[in-house]
Amino acid sequence: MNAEMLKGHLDAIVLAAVEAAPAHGYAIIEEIRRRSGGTFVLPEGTIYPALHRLEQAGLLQSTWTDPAKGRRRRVYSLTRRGVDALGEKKANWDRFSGAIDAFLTRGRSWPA
Amino acid sequence: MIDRYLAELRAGLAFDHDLRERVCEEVEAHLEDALANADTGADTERRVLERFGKPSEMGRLFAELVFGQRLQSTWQRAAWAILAVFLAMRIRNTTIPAPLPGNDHFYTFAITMDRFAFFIAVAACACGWLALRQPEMFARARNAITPIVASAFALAISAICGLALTYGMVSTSGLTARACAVLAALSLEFIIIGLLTAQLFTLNRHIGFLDRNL
Repeated sequence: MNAEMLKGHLDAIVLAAVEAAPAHGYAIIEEIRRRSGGTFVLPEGTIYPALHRLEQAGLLQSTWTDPAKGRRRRVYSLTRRGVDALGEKKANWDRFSGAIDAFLTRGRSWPA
Repeated sequence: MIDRYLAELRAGLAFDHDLRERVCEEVEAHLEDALANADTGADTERRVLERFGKPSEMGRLFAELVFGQRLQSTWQRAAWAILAVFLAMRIRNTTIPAPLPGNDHFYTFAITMDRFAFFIAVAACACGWLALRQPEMFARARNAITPIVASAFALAISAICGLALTYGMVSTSGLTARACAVLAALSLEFIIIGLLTAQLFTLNRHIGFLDRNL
């Protein structure tokens, strides 16, 4: 799936990727890749403007964490508003995908 | 190769110092992780950087994002400045005795200028608001910034007239409680106009950066 197709859903994908546990940018990209079975491929750098935008919107919060060894990382987690927004996006997606699925399925089964 | 990439990214994020430092540190850590987990080979760095995307594209995404936030912040400050000047004017009008003894012409001139400058500021801000209704963000900003600058200038003239009136009041009747209220309102007026002016300078620099780099 190309990056253009993902753009409209990037916010929901990023929010869902940090739903289970706080994560830094690289871990979020890996989580997206893992959960989509390698289907969602986007330039990794595009995740950072999205994280920044979601943080500014109050849906994510971030802090620097200093590991015992190695470089410090900025870790992102969902805020209360982020949890609500993700729930809303999931509900919208269920409605939308259900409608598209029904529409396309009826289209295919229409007798010629 | 990664150092060159980070240098390009730094140049692309030069419009915001704090953001640049933060993003570059995050990206450096990200690339380190990606390199550590990549298959080793002759072109590992190149492949990792290809997967990450062009630094210019990342810079452009951030530039647009921050620009939109700055534009919005400028409008909020302009609205607060108009409100602060209006309140300070009301306090002046109800507190400063008219006309000041021996200063009829000065008082009439200052109070007229104060009011006209405020009305011009509101009209200029309204023009800027109309310019903001264009669909394209940079076109909006370019057309909106001149009326906002004019508005800030008119607000500053109004505040200077207020300063002159306040000075006249204090020199005539001394530093009374009413004079202190007028001074407090005037200080707030100057602070908010100062914040608006600083924001306009930042926005103007950002427009210049985008013109040079995008």
